[in-house]
Order: sequence, then structure tokens, then C-alpha cells
Amino acid sequence: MDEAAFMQRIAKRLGRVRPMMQQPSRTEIGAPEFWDAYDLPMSARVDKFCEELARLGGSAIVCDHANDVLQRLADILHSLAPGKVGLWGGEFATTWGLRDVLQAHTCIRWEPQDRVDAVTPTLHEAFASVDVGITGCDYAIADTGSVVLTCDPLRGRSVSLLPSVHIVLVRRSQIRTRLGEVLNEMLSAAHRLPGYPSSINIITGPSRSSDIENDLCIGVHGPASVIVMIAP
Amino acid sequence: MSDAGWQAGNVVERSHEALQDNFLRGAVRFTTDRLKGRKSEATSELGDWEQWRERGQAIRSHTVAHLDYYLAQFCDRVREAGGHVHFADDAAEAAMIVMQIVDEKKAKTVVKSKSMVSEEIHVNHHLLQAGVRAIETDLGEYIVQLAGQAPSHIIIPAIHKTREQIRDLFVGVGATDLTTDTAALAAFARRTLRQEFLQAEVGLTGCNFGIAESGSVALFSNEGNGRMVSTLPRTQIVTMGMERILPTFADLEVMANLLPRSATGQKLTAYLSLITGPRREGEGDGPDELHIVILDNGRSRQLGDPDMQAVLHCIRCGACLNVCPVYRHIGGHAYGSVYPGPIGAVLSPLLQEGDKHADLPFASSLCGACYEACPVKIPLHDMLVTLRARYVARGKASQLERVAFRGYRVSFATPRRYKASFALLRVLQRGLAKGNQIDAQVGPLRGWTASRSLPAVAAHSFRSRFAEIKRELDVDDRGQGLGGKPEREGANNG
Repeated sequence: MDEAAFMQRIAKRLGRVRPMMQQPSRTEIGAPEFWDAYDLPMSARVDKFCEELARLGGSAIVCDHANDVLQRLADILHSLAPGKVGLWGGEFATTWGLRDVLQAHTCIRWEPQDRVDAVTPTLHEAFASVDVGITGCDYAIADTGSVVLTCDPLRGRSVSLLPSVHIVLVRRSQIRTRLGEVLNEMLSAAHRLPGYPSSINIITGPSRSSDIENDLCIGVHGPASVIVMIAP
Repeated sequence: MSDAGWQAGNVVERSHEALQDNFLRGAVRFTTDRLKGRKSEATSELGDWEQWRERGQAIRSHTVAHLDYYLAQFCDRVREAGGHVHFADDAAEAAMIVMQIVDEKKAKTVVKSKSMVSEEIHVNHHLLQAGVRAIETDLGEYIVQLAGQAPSHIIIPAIHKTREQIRDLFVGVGATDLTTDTAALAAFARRTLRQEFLQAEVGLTGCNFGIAESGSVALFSNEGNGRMVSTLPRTQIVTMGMERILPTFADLEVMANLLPRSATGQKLTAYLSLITGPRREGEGDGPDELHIVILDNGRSRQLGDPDMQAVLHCIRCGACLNVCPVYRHIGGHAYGSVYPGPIGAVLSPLLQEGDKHADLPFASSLCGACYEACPVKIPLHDMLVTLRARYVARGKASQLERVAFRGYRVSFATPRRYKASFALLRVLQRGLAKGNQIDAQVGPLRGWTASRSLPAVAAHSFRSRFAEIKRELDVDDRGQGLGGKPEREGANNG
């Protein structure tokens, strides 16, 4: 159906001669006021985040030093013994100093070549056989135990989706209390940048389903295990 | 395939069938109890639930009342982000648009994540006819599709299937050595569907909310199939009802607090994905093309209708199903429409005019539990009454019902006629009434007496006994006035 006619019909049914062009005014936007005042101090945020994630079957590991992160990560990878580890591309590994930890494992990084040539296997096909995906995040949310990941050319959507285990590296400064704060900050960022990222994923614990006789099962399509490591 | 799942007949016949299925009744009750219980835990934990509902209602009613502005803004933002927008007047046109895109991409396989609108436009049926494989990837929907059925609950589609039945269905598509263990069944689905995600040319998703200020499509999901479908295939098609809009990101926070809690009692689903346009240059995954198909299909008719506009506020959480005494007994299939439960009983007859779903508003006890459960406070029980009234006003009531109401009007018009009609009833009920009740299953009485007793007309009416009662009362008053005590109790004082 023609767009103009489609819109005109809506306007007419709502009692207008033509579609409204000016932003309608309103007073009740977003969450109730008492909710906006909900703001935990940092140490309480970390505790709340860990508690919420644990309730969902995810695990949060709080590290006091940067070295702890590397040591704990090395231990986890050692015990998981993955065939292949996948991680974000670009400076990600360097920034977190992961080089030594990853040396013991077969790794692939998310660094896409041109995708026009359909003959070479695309990156996501290569990532389909990755066992552990390691990413950072943009934010974490204490209230729900969530991590927020946006995508760009070096931070593919598949890295946090296809592997069976997803390890997320978070800095304390990235943790917010509520989802609303994160949405608000991303809105401001989008106004500075050339718009919104093509994909924002707010990930809360491992993939799950209760579709078989209401019995909860984990890891139906997405990762069966989500491990969040909180660095200072 | 979705067509094949619907049973024929009216809602009463389909209900009888559902009531024979003990497993179904048990499963429906178990699930709805569980969802209800978890919802009440999750809402009390959040606190101020009523204030959240008020806010949810305010946001949805403002958006729908200004849908022309917000929908246009959404479409503009989608196009700015590189997406395509299509407009469909009805289900057939929406299906045609989807088929054209699928055809253009020469797709052999389409992977789908859960979408009620795709059920509404019967897209699986069209794909099947064109020789394209349509794969449902939500675990419950996949099971239901293998069984050749339609979903029986908005949130938990395979609520009516046992694990043994599910194992047998999986064996039917090549599983070997499969136990009925939940983890084993889920693992089989994961392996099988993973291959489909990787080879499908087109991914089809629904849309929980379209954010007007950014042109983003918000998807709430738990399994991750929604993410797969919007990440791996090179073309993504989104089907959405035209009312599924929120003005801002800030409003999304409210819905993120209301929707998962109302649907499954979760604080938040495992994934909340916000998709804004196709993949950008240099990105290695995400669709090259994003098409959004916006469907009217009877929705615009509800705008400007003061009694029905609020049906467009619905956020498809399914909370009204879980509390409905009728749904809890008969399950989703008995409604015979894409949308079951109280919301379906209102929405289906509105979207599809004519008689097909006109009987659904009568499949309700009008108890109002649906309204109490609704996170955006849609007055479903009032709407059901209005729809019944409209049905009768269209002259659709049965001959018997019309005669009965004409009789009612005649006999209740004057006291004399009233007296005479009850005298007549006393005569007519002779032989039927036993004691004070009627259990005889004859003629139209059966509709009531098949499952309960009908109180018989009393041998003497209140009015005929009134002279006698008044005498007693007068005597009582006198007694009280003289001796300070009722006369009849006087004997006990001696």
C-alpha cells in the first residue's frame, strides 16, 4: 500500500485532516520519577550485579588487580580446554594484555575482510566452530546483571553469540545501576556519532528456554555459559 | 502450516475437544500457574507495580493517539539508517511483500524467530507453496511446526506437548539415540537449527517495539534465536503491526520492566536486541538488507473508536491468558484464532470482521482478571461486553435468544404481567422441578442443567406472602414498643 495513503488513513481515523507533523507534547516520558532516583554507589553496584547474574546461572568474578583478571582468565581457559577461542579484533587483546594468556590456545580474531566474495568462508562461518568467545562491553547493568554490547567492524555480533561460552571483560567504571541510564548515555553518544550502532545487545545471563514441559534448559541457541570478569 | 493447525467449528465445539485432553488441561494449568506465580514474585520485587502500570498505559495511549506522527518518524529513521520500509493494507499484501523479497533473493530457506504477525499473515503457508523451506527456530515453535500444529500460547507455544511426543517428533526428522531428557532434546534442536541459521538466505523476525526517535527494532528473546536470525542471514525481514511503536529509548525502559515480568516473571529476558538498519560498511555480520513490513490489517479501524482503540495498546505479554479461567480450561487452540485468550477474544473479531471470530467474546466469564493482569491496563472485560452488544445489535443473536428476551421484555413490563408469567412458570415446571431445583436436561435448559442445577421458581412469591409477613412484623413492633422485648421471645422469660 502507498505510504502516504497508509499514513493518511491513520490520521483521518484519529480525527486529523492530515498526518501530524509537529512532535506532540507530553508529560509522562520514560520511567516514573522514583525509579530515576535509583542510583547505587559503586561497591553496591558490583555486589548487585554479581547477585543478579548468579541468580540466572551466570558467573561474575570480581578481580582486585589487573593481573588477577589475566590469571583467572588463564585458569578458566585451561580448565575449559577449548578447541578454538574467538575474540574481538583490533586493539582489544592488546588493551587487556591478553597476549600471553591466549598464547596457549588457537585463536581467531574478528577482523572481517571484504564480504563481497561469497566463495571464501565468511567470518561468522569460521566463528561457528569457536568454543569460547571473549569480548569486552560498553556497559554493565547492576539492577539486572546485564552486559551491553554494541557492534562495529572489529566487534562482531557473532563473537558473543555463536560460541558455547561467552567471557566478558568489564571495568568497574562501566557499571551503571539501571537500564535507563545506559539507554540515555547511548542516546547522547548517538547524537555525537553518526547515529546508532547497527546492533546493540543487552545480554542477561546464558541463553535459556522452558519450552519442553516447562523444564528450564540452558544454552538453546546462544551461549550456555556467561562468565563476566570485573576488573578494577 | 499455521493454517493446518486450526480446528473447524465454533469455540464451544473446540472447547469440548480441548476438555477431553487431560494432558493439555494439566499442562495449561501448570504453566499458567507457574507464570502467574513468577510474575507476582517479580512484580512485588520491583515494587510500585501500580505506578508502573499507570506509566505503561500513559505511554501506550499517548503513542497510539499520535500514531501518525510517531510511525512516520520511525519510518524516516529506519530509512536514514539504510533500511527499507513497506506498508501492507492487509494480511495478503504483507505476505506478498515478504514473498517478493524472498523471491528476489532466490532464497531456498527462511529461518524465523517468533512473530505473532507472521502467524497473522500465514507467511509459512505462502513460503511452503512457493517451495521455500520456512524453519521456526524458537524451540517451542519448532516443536509445534514439526507437529504440523499452531502455537497454543503466545509465550510458550508447545505447552501442550509431552517430552515423549517431542522426542518422537525429533526422531521423525533424523534424531538417533535420543532420550527424553530436556538437555538432550534441546541439544538436538541446537545442532539441527545451527545448520539452518548458517545456510538460510533470509531471516524473518517480529518486532516487540519500534523506537521512533532512532528507527530501532527492539526484540526481547531468551533462547538467542532472534539474534541468530538477525545476525547470520544476508537479508532480514521484520514483520510488525503498525501500532508497535514507542516514542523514545526512555519509554523502552518502562516496557523492559513491564513486558518480561508480565510474560514470564523475569526481570529481563536473556537478550534485548536493538537493531538499527542493516550492517554498516566494514561490519562482518548482520544483514546486508533490512526490510520492515508494517501491517494494518484492521488495526486502523480501531483508531478513533472510543471503546476499542485501547486494544492497540497491547504489548503481547500473554499475562491475560495466564489468569483467564476460560483459557486455563480450554487452552489456546480452542480459540481457533492466531491470538488466544482474552486479548484474542477481543482482537480477533476486531481484526477480522464478519462472523469467523464473532463467537469469541462470549467465551469469557467477564471476571475482569485479564484487566487486573494487564501491564498497560487495557479494559478487556469492558470491551468483551461491548463486542457482545454489537453482535446482538447486528441481529446475530439466535432465534431462541431473541424470543427469550422479547418474552422478558413483555413479562417484566407491568406487575400484573410479571405475576401472570411466574404463575405460568410454576405450572410449566411441574414434573421438571425436584425439591427446589431443576436438573432435567430438556430442550434449551440443557445448556444450564448439563453441568449445574437450575433453581426452581418458589412455590409462593415474596409478594404473595407479603401480607402475612407484614402482619408478623407489625406484631413484632408492637411487642417491642410495649414490653421492650419481642413478644415471641417473651415465653423464654418466664
